[in-house]
Amino acid sequence: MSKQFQFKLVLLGESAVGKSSLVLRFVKDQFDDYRESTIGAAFLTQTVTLEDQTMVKFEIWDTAGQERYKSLAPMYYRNANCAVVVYDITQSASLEKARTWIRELQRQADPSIVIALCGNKADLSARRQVTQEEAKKYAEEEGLMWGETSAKSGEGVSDIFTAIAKKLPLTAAPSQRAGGTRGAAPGAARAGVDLNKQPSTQGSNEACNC
Amino acid sequence: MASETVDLRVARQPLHSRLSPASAGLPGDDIADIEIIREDWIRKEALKRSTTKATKSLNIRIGSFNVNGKTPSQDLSPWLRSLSIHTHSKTGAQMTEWISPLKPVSPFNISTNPIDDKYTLQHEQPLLPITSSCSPSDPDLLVLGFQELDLSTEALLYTTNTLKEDSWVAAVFAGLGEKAVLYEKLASKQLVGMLMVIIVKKSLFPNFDHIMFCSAGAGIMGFMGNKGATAIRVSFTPSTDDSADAKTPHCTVLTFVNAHLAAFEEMVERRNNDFQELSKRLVFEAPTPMGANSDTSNESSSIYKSDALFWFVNLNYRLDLSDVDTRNLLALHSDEPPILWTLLKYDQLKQAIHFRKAFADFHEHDITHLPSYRFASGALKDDLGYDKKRKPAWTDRILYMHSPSPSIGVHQLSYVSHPEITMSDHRPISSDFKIQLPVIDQDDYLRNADKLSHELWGFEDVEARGSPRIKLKSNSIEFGKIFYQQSCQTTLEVDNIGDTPCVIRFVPADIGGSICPDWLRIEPPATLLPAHMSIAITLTAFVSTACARLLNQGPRRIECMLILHTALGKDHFVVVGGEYQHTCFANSLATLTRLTGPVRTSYATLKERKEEQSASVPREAMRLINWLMEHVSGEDIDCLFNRPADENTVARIRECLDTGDELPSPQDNQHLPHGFARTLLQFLDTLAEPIVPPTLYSRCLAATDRNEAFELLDDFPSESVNIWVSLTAFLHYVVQSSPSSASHSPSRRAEILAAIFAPILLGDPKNVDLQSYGISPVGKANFLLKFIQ
Ligand SMILES: Nc1nc2c(ncn2[C@@H]2O[C@H](COP(=O)(O)OP(=O)(O)O)[C@@H](O)[C@H]2O)c(=O)[nH]1
Ligand SMILES: [Mg+2]
Repeated sequence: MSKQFQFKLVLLGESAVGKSSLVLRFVKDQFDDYRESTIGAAFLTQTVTLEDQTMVKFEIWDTAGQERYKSLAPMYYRNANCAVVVYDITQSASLEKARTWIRELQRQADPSIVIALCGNKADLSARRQVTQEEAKKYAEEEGLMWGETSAKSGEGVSDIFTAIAKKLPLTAAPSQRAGGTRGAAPGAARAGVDLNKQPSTQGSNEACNC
Repeated sequence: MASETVDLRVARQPLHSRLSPASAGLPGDDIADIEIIREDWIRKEALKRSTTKATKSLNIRIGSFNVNGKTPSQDLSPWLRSLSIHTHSKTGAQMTEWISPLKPVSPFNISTNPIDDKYTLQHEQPLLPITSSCSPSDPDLLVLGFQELDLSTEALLYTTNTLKEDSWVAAVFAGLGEKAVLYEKLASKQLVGMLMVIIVKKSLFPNFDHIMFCSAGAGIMGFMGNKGATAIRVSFTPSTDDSADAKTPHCTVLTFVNAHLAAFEEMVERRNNDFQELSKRLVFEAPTPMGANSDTSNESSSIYKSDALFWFVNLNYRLDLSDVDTRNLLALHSDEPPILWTLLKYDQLKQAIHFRKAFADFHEHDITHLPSYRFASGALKDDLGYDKKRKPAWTDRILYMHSPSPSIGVHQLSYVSHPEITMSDHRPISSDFKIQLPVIDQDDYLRNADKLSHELWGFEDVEARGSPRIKLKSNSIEFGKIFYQQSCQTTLEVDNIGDTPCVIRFVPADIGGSICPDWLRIEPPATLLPAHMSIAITLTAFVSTACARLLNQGPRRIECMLILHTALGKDHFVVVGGEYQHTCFANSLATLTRLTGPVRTSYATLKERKEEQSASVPREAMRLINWLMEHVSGEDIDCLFNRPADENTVARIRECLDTGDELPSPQDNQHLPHGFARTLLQFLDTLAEPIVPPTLYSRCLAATDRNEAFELLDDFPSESVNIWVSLTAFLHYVVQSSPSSASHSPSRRAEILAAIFAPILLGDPKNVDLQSYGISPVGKANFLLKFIQ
């Protein structure tokens, strides 16, 4: 039987950089020009199958980027195994914002969190304000994964999630799950590391095939 | 509701508390939550849809009487017939006027626990004045519990002798006088010395059926039948002809429990256990299914499976207070409920309910009558008629719980004792209830529930049916000004814009946290929303005393973030905010004496001020005292602190104190003096700390004369000394200026004032076990008396 992993992934970044669009592309392979902006956090799942048949299921939290709701963001990135911090390549200010998020994650999130920096709206390269070199250099300095995407064309989207899926099982040493739903006890269902409160005795729950 | 009456302990549990633990980013068990919320919603919605316009009401009079083995030798009419006809009606009516205005001063009402505040607000049970139009007419149902019918030793072996029962039933009918012909006996149940009799209006006799009985012994080895309980359950079905369009009216289950628990003061744990035991063991066994009918309810069921459950009991709970103190306070009581409330703070049953050791979630109305136990005669009795050797206590009580509305409405109209019936060492007690019942068509209900279950089935299959989608009209809600103790409401509109039903619930930011701050309430906190439907969720801002203690320390702007979780879908954020209006109530002396002006305008500058700039006495207290000294005289002064005052007047005066506006002048309203007196009491009572530091109490009580008492003032903190001196000087003035026509002599007036003020000025620390704490309330009053006499 193939291996199965489950990880919690959170999307962060300034409002309107295309976080929700990225998720929609990744989960449903769709793109909407007119999406209502999220005031809150949306939950979605998507499974990636790697070449070795390992299945990685992402539990994705797409959060609101607005400053006003910033105090709630830690609730969504705590226990996250990975974070995709998005900026818009046509807005240099959005990279600044991304840096702030990354600093916050480095300070406050789980230390083993895998962080990917993602430059979105690559289809609009004519209006580019952030060069690939600049972003890449920053990512290397901070030890982050990096990639450019276009939620609109689909370019680079699955690549970045697949890259994360490949990296995670190695770093995060998650517990294996034979399936299951969101319905399980909170925390227990979140694979990967949960340094906060989950005692190791939760193992028995995870085998449940419900 | 016979076939699907739920356990009251479950029904009363807020839906929200039954859901899985969840928080932002950690949805709980959404599937299980959907199940719970859907089931609850279908039930309520089906009830709503099958409720006819007609309503029914039942007047029930409940009585409890420990007869001490006596045979009936006196007229029982005062106990059986409504208040307006018996001799104590005047006092009774006067006392009930007290209930609402004084409520905040009653023990356990000024709670430090915000949950309690929320609770009282949600479950307000206004006691309607007995003289109003709601005055109970002849009861439809009389439910009477007797204890200690037979004290003989043989009686301890279960007997089937009904002689005693017959004589008491005969006495009851005799007591009903000319009304007796209207009634007949519906049911009775005896367990050794305990007897319960239910008497019903003949015209309603056919409406009661499914009568069931059970009993259980308590006490040593659980079979000594002298302690324990009997219970009777009845189902009431309104007649079809008078319930308009309900062809198959739904029935209401009422359960009555007559209990007698372990005696003796120190047996309080035993009593708590007895209650828990009886709660488990009182079970109605279903009759053996005769024709194995369609009747589904042939399982045995708990007494809690009711729409309303009444316990009337000789509970034997006592007062954890010394004999001297108890009698002393009772002697001062006359007509001052605040003194009874001081006593009731020490009541073991109130304590047991408060700490959830027994009768948790039961409601008992405020007690305004004197203890019902133990009376004596001749040389054995004290001035009030109580046995000199047994400390008086409220041993006889009536408590109840009922399903949340709209299933049933229960209004308690009275709660009194009957001192004129003197044949026993207990006095009988009684209570009138008005039960309001919506008339529901049972067949229609089942049809609706079935239809709804069908419509709402399977939407949790998100793969097949699509994700839930809701939209909020606004993500930001503004209350504007929020005042202390004034609730203000607004709504949050939520639309289900998806094609499937969905379930929404508010979740806290952190697991185990609250979904909103203490000053906010959300109703409903969880619900189902059918496809394309909208709901207006009510948000109520209410700053209780406990909340105000915190908010008074903070900034004017108060704000919080709500997280509305859609099961199997998004979390939506809502910012809720308002402008808190600071108040001098629920504040601290240290803060108030450092303010340069009225609270509302100067709280913000507080930090810059230095300690030594303190005013000596909070200006609010001085303004109240000065007003009273200037405007009160004669008649008014005689009963200044023991007359009810209108809460609105108090709020108006408080607002002037907070803003610095001019105080109302006495020409406005003749009741103003009482309003001011009450404002002063409440101001003192809500202070964060009592004026006298609790560490000094034992020394206060040890002071033997005025000199010693005055010397103690040296050890008071500076902000306490000044207010203490001003207040006691004022009270001294009140005592001295009582008119010659006054109802009490100056020295008695001083004693009464001391008994009212001492529990406030020397308040008990919160959440201590009053018994082990052991500071005598009379000792406190005596200390205060040294300053005001
Ligand atoms: N041209 C282009 N527009 C995009 C792309 N991704 C998102 N958008 C648009 O950017 C706007 C904001 O997208 P949204 O996903 O709501 O951003 P979010 O606030 O970060 O979730 C929307 O109008 C999208 O249609 C992209 O890759 N290319
Ligand atoms: Mg978005």
